[in-house]
Amino acid sequence: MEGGYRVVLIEDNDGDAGLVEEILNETGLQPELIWFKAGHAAMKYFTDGGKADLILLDLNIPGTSGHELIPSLAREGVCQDTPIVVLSGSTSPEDMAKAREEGVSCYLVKPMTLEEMDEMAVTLRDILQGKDELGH
Amino acid sequence: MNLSSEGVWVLDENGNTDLINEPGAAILGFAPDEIIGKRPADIGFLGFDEDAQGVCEDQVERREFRMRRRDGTYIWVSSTARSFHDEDGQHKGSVALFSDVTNEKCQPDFKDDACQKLEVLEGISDGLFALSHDWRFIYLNDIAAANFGKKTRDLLGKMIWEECPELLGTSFELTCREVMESREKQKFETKSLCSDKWFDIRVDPTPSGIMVHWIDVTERRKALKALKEKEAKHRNLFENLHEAVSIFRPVIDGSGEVVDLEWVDANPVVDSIFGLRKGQIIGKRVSQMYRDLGAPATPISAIKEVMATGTSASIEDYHDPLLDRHMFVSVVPLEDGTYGMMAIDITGLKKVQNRAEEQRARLQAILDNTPVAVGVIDTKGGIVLDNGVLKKIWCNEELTLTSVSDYSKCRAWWPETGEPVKPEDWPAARALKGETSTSTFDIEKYDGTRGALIISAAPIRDEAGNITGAVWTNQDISDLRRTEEELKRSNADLQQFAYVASHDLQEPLRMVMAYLGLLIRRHGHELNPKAAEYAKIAMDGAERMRQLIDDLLAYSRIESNKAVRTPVDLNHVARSVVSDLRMAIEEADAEVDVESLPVVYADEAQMVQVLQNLIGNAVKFRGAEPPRVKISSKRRIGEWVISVKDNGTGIDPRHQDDLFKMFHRLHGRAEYPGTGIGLAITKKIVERHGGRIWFESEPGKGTTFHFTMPGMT
Repeated sequence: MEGGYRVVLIEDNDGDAGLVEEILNETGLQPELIWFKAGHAAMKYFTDGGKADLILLDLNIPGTSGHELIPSLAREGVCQDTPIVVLSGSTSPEDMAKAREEGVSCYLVKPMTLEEMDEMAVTLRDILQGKDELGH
Repeated sequence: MNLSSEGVWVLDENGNTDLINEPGAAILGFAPDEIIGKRPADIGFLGFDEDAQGVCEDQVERREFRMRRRDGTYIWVSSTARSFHDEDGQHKGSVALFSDVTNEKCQPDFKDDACQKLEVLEGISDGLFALSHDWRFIYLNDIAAANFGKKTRDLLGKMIWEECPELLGTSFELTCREVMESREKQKFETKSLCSDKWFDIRVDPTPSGIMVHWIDVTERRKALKALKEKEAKHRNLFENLHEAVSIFRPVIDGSGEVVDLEWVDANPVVDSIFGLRKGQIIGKRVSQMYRDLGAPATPISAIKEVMATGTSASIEDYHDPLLDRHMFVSVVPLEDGTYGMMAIDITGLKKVQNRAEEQRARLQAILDNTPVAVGVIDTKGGIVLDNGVLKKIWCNEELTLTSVSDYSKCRAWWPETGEPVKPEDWPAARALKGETSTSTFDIEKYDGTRGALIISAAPIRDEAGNITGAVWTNQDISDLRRTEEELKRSNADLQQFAYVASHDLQEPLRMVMAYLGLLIRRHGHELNPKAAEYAKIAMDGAERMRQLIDDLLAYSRIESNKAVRTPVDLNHVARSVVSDLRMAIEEADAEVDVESLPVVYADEAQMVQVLQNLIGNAVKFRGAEPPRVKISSKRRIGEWVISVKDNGTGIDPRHQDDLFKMFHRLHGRAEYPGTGIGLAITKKIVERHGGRIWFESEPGKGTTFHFTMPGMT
């Protein structure tokens, strides 16, 4: 299926959100980006019946933290079909392990270099196209 | 029993002096010739002959009386007198034995003593008889008669040679005839004809013939012989003693002060001390000797002090100024006013004693100055000896522990469980049961402060292995414990800071790097060359900063990570590291040789980090030659030494300490990129595993890093 992908981003940092936008553009899939700066807004979107092909979640967000949001999303039945990819600045093995326990599809460290951004674009494209092993 | 001091006075039937011996005359203050032929009354001794005449035959009259001597002095005389008679009962004369007892008279029990003495003289051992010119017995006592085997009355008036023919031809007969002839007295000692007895015989001429008087000297001879033997033994001992033995006579000045000592006798040791031949010391004076030999002082005053005690006394340690030796000197006053002195050289002993004393003092000083409480308890658990620190530790100068149950006075808890420590759980109490143990207790001191103690104790056993007590130490580690906790806290704070700082730094850095990257990629062509160069420099800086933050994070994580220890095969780790570094290795044209490595108990990821850093460095800091890296191991007692050897640039050994510090770099960034955290991380990991890390290097030739890992048990 070409085009028509919808990506929900939960991220409070404008800069990071800008980067995600750049990366998503790089996937060549021209996905629609719905951006929430806080967890409760995203929850509202989903409880109101909003849909997504991919959820990109920053763990370090104000209010409800990313770690708390993941089980809530699961309760709403959102994750059933939608892969949740954690986007984190943290390289801490504990953070990674914890996210995996909570049932996220993939843990991606926020990119710093162009190369990392390119790599991430490939990963996200694969996930959207359902090629990623960690996905469905 | 010296006969020579006894007077013998014989009177004839008329009361005239027939005989008086020299000692007798001397007691009275006359010469014998002045008395012979005279009556006692003629020379002023009234009553003496009357006394003698008044007693019956076979009776002995014993008396003491005061006498005036010729020179007017008075003496006390003890006298035993006897008269003798012919067959018709006619008085034929009398004899008296007497002695001067003035001195003895002063003593209260003189009488008995004197009587006894005279009894011995007259009654037992003395024989006395007088002969006329024609060899007839004028007088003889019972002893004399018994000696001839006859009765006194049977012999009186008879001729001696007829009655006692066995005497004919003996030296006794000869002597008697000589005295009768020459009128010169003679004295000789002879053995009895019929027994083993020895007699001291004296033959005196008398106006009427001769008088023979003898005493049994057998016992005296025996005693004399024994005395001589004893003396010889003593002399032998004296002469051969290794110790210096001297007999001194005090030399006294006009005022009665002892000014010097003169040798009366000394054994050869004394002679040799002063460089003299045997016996030469006798007559020499002590102070003179010491002065002549150049001694700075003499022992006179020291010896005088001992002499002044009047009894035998000693100087425990006298340092002799002449010999420079330590002496034990003992001085004994002798009966004749001289002093015996023995000196024993104790210099060697003194040295040993001094050493022991020094050692004891040193030990005491250690004990007194150690901050550790040290002590000994008896079998009941009571403290019998300690260095006083315990009271200080507990902040209670009154603290006394006399038994194990007293240990409850010291409030303590097991740090692991918080349970109170029972008296019998103290190591000192356990030592009394034969256990050697060390425990750490949390305590509450008497001033209310909390602290911690390390207590050790071990039993003391006697030769048979029985426990006679225990020795213990208590070390107050309260301060140490506090410091440790503070350090732990501050380390944790620092760790947390490093983690948070590096973590939070990443976000702004990401903005810088990512957008700088996008700027260069998307708008690079719009920038003029200068702007493009600036952007590139900014990017380099950002990349370095990222590396620093990554390393800092890695460093802080070493501690914050929980220790996960599993058996780790270092062969496997080394191979995977070499594989990870393949690119760098190939680029440098390096060869990495992994020899057999051990399996260690460690955090595998951290072991990877260690080998990655060391092998990575070995490849990175290369010299002119292509890098040759060898990883090897060696087994030591309780540990493994793992070595990573290279042929690179080498490191000045001066950097031994600095090299492992954070951010320490030996090279310019242009030469060798890096943050300077790698070895700090490596060191921290190794030390966290209970190991050590160091290097050996020769600049220009290469470096070998060694680290140890505890061996698996």
